[in-house]
Amino acid sequence: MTAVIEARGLRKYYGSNRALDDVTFSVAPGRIVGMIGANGAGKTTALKAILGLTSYQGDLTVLGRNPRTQRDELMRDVCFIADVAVLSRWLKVSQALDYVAGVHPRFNREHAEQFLRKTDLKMNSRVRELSKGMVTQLHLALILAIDARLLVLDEPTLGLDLLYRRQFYDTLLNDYFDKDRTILLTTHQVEEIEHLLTDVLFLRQGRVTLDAPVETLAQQYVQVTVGPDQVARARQLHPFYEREIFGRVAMFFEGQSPESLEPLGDVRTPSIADLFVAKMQAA
Amino acid sequence: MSTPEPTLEATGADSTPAPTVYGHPPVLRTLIRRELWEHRALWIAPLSVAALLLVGAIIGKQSFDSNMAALPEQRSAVFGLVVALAALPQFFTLGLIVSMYAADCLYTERKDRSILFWKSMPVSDTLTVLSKLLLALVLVPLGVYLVSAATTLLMTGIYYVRAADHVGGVFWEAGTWLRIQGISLLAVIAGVLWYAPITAYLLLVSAWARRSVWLWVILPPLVIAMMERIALGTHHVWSILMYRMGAVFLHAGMTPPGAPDGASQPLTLNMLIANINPLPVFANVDLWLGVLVAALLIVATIRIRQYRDDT
Repeated sequence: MTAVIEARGLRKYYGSNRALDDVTFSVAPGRIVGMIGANGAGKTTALKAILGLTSYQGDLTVLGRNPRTQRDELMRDVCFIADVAVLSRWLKVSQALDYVAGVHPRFNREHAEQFLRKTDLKMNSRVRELSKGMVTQLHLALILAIDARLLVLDEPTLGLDLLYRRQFYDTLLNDYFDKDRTILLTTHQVEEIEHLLTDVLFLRQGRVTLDAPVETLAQQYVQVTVGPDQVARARQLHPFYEREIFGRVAMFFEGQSPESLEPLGDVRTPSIADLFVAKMQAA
Repeated sequence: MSTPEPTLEATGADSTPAPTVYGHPPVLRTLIRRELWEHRALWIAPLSVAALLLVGAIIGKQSFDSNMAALPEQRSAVFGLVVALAALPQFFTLGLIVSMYAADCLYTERKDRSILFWKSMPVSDTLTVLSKLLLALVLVPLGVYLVSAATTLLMTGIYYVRAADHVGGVFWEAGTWLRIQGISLLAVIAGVLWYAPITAYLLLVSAWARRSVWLWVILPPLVIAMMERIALGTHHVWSILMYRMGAVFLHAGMTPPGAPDGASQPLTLNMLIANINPLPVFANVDLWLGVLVAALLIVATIRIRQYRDDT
């Protein structure tokens, strides 16, 4: 099946700063891809390029279109929440609904109102009167009521408390996601979303350092927690990263079978968060 | 919006989009509504001015003395004066709100980053900019004109009632009112077209400036004019600016033909109304050159909204 996003040799320089440096990846339909990277790794730039909001060099196709020249057409099939609180402060909840209903051919107002009824949002409240969490709820209500094929989320839960964050992702998974839809998201709270990702894409200084489906991570990466007596032996197998925890050492291996590492200590598949830290620190 | 949607599944040469259950929302109407939600001054200001004028007409002290409107021509002149004076604050307001709006409308969406939301909708930058232009050049001037016409109608009606007991009798002249409304409409159209390059320039700066829009509005022309003065000793830029900024009617031959010397008598206004002819304004090549410049500036504004990325 055709890829939803196809990026080849994507580049974007801000002066001497390389926000994107030869980035190549593709996203298949029905996946939930987490784009993970430190601040300034190029995540937001990559998302902006995908959404047609910034210029870039290289080849980029989103749902078969060029985002730079066909943004308005692309946005019929793509939704995004760029960041919390980008709804205008003067906007009323009812106006937000009127607006999206008035410009988006695939907006189902009934869905949005249904979602909003479960919240404390009033139709005549203005965005400036709402808390950050409520603004996100409003934005989510609008987005979820659009029958889009690709949803792009850039730090959608930044600055929200745990309850709102949990609710946000639960809604996303239960009410929105299905096999025909694709979600691409970035967040700093990797731990909170790693159970819902199907793919991970690590970015470091504008380069892709890992691009893999989550299910293959277990075959590729092993984390072994080694007691002090085994450390020297384990090091001979060239872990790419190690970290000391309470006197024991967590070692991260790539391309080793879990069975071969069993004698050294407790073997497990590293969490995405741990793997991310290991990858970033090792480089 | 007119380019056919390229479908992922190549279904052959048929360029029409695949049949869809989704409707065609009234995009342009929605964009216009959105502007009126955000920029409420566009309709509040003219209505407030109208309300003030009407309150003034109702409670204002008015002396309908007998010699003020003794002769029919004088009555006509007084009537014309009331109608014209009532329209002036409205047209002044029009200039103000359109300028403020044009300088603001593409700037605030970047300042508060809401552009990321607006751009997440399937609305082209061209349509977005054109919706703002439509408001600034057509809908708001038309609205203000209609409010102004209604205001003068109500005001003169109020005066008519208030003066009913006084000497002078009938105080309403439909012919004069209609003529002034006709002239006003042509004047509004001429003004909108004459100032179109300025409106377009404000939109351009609004789409471009990172901060202090008004500083960027004023500074470049001023600096260019000064540089010309220093480098060449000439002042063409300054002259062009002043020419364009000045009231369109001063350049357009809208002064009454052959106004007699010592025209300070009360009948001057009457003569003005009788002789005024705004049509030559539209024969002025400079008006249309300005419209052309405005069109180019709007194309640039659309490009900037499309490619500018400072969120």
